[in-house]
Amino acid sequence: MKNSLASSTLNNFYLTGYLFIAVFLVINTANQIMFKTVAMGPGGSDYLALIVEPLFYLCIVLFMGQAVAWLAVLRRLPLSYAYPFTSLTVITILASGAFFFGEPISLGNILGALIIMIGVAVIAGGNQHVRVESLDSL
Amino acid sequence: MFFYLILFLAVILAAAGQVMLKFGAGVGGLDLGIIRLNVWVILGLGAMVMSMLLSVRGLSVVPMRDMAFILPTVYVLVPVFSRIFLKERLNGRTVFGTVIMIAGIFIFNMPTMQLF
Repeated sequence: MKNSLASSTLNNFYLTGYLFIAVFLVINTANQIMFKTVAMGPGGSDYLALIVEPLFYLCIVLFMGQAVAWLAVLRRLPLSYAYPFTSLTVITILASGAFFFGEPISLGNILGALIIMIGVAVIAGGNQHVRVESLDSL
Repeated sequence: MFFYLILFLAVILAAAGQVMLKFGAGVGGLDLGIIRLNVWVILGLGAMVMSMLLSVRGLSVVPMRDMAFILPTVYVLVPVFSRIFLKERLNGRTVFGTVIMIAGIFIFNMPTMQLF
């Protein structure tokens, strides 16, 4: 009973880790869109124009939010397990680039994105609950 | 060659920064709710910012096709550093998934036929 409660608590702890990975991916993608928007304006070539650009400060806020979300992930999941999930930003940024800026998508992009998702799925389906299961077996 | 070295330094700094952040996330410090702030976290964030600045410098000279082979190395270094410095256990599934994912990043960045 005690072990089952501990197991459930640990499962919730890890699940929150996955939630923060999702938050990280959303903020990171939003930040990249903002950076691109700023870079396409006068702030892209002139530092003075960059300083007076309000969106630039939104980028800094998003960057801090992204860092907080990632630190929350690292408090809950092993680095070697969590880090590969960051590669999913390649896909979200590809989609955002096409949607918001009409950027081209190549066959290699699609194929690469699918393979990245398979790799992340292999990792995600793996080891994280080993420690939880080992508690049950005590 | 100098700019390639800068990029490799950027990749190493990014991986080292992740290790510092992970180490900092697990030790005490100023509790800010969902995260804790301490010297390791500050050093880790500093390493990440430094890595970003070096990447921008390197990118100004190194062609994108070469970046496709340099940037994914961070996904190799992070598990290796985690094993060495954080003593994390790597299982076969994580290693296999990482290899597939890196192959995906290579293919993603290869110049191919444009679809849309």
